[in-house]
Amino acid sequence: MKRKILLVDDNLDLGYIVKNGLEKIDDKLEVISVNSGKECFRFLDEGNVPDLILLDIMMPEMNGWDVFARLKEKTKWRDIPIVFLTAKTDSYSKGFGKIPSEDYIEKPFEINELKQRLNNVLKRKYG
Amino acid sequence: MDKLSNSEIIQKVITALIGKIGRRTSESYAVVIFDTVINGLIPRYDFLKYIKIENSLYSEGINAVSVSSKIDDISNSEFYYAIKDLVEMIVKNLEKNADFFFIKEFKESLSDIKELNLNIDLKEKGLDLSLMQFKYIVDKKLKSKVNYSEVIENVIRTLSVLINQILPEQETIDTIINFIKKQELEFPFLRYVKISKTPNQQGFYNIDALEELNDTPSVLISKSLLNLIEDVGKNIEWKKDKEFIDAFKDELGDDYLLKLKNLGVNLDKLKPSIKKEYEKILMKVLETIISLVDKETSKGFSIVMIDSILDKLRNEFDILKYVKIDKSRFSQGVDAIRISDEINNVEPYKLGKLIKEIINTAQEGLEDNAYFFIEDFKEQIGKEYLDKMDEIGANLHLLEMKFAKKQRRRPVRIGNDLFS
Repeated sequence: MKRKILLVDDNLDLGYIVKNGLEKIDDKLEVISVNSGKECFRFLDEGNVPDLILLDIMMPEMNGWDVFARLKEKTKWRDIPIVFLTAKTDSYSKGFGKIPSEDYIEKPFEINELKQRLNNVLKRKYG
Repeated sequence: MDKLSNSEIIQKVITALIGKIGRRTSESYAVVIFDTVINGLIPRYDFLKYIKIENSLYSEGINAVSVSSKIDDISNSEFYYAIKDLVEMIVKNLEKNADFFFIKEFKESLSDIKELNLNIDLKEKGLDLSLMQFKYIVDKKLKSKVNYSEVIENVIRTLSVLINQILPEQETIDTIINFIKKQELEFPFLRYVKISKTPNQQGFYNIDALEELNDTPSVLISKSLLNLIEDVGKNIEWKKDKEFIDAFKDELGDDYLLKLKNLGVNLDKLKPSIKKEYEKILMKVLETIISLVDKETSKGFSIVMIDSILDKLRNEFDILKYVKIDKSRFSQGVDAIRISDEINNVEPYKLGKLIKEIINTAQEGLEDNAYFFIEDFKEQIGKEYLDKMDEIGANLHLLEMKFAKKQRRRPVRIGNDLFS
């Protein structure tokens, strides 16, 4: 059974790279890419429930922090593990982000490292 | 038929009491009286705390009262003494409403509770309603009129003196008038308290509690005074070394303290609610962290983070049962947090330890910025709260040292960037 990863990032190129890269090296992962918080909620509101959300912090309009809070507000989405993804290396964001999220990955990253980190989270969550 | 449990018996007694009092007054008034009497008896019979009266539901009468089955474990003897005292105090508090017929009807209601053997159980404990009926007639003739207005005047005068220690004269008068007006909503008879807004020829402000107040049931006078003193104590910026309530007692003097006590005003009950403000301290700490995290993230995220920290600590800190965060209201920030005032009863060191651990957890992933987080926290929460935290053992000095040790050189922060 494939694990569904929902990538929320306004950078379309990154969305393409992550989807193709991850799906190529791990046939048990399926990546759905959306490019804003709004699209993320549209996808979820349609009844889709991903196994993990890879969430960029720095996005226009609704940033990753707000998306995170809104996801945690709803019972039906609260248990979906969330991994923060950001280019920001400021230790404040990283430190605070680490507390309630499952993991925190800084850009740029190696696709193999990303695969490893996501699989660790998936294993912890679903066994 | 199965024997009734204590909780069932007390529920029937309460129903009979409230029903009978309610017929003469109103059911909500009956519940107010009942609430006051139960509170007065709790120091003597701790288990009466299992009778809960929701003061927000007074108007719903008997529905405001609930009895926990924990009361079933209480020994028969202790339980009957409590019922005896409860009935006696209710009758005493009802005063003119507890007439001859009330006692008679109430006795009949209790007789309907077969398991409550009036003649044996209660009479043995000293409650003889027949005797009480007789005594009522005699007492009524002997009873002299109580002068509540004098007590009220002195309480208000004393409160004014204390307020005047922190506010100028005219503001003091306006303030005390406002406090009384606030109480008037619940206790309309306080309209008979007249305070002059301007000083008389001798330079004094007249405070008169009119004679009409003497016709008000003592239980209501007592409750209104207690609420008034508590409200003033909680809401004025009292920053003296002596606790407000102690200053009040000193200023009022022994004679009037005794009169207040006889009236049923238990000032000791107020002390914790004025003195202990753990609820406020913890909320301020959480608000400060949320505000600092909000600056770097968002309002919603900062509350999720706090929620996550508290969830991590819940197993270790039992007192966190008094702190609830409504997960469906994260986006409303601090409004999603509810701290029960029961936290005011915990051991101070427990709260101090919890606060230190919350701050420690909040900054633990911040690496070099941890030092600045503590600095920012201290600056934002301010000296007043730092002192209060210090009093309960939440001293941040050790945390600061911990991070100072980790750094060989203190980094310089410019905006969000760090330079070593």
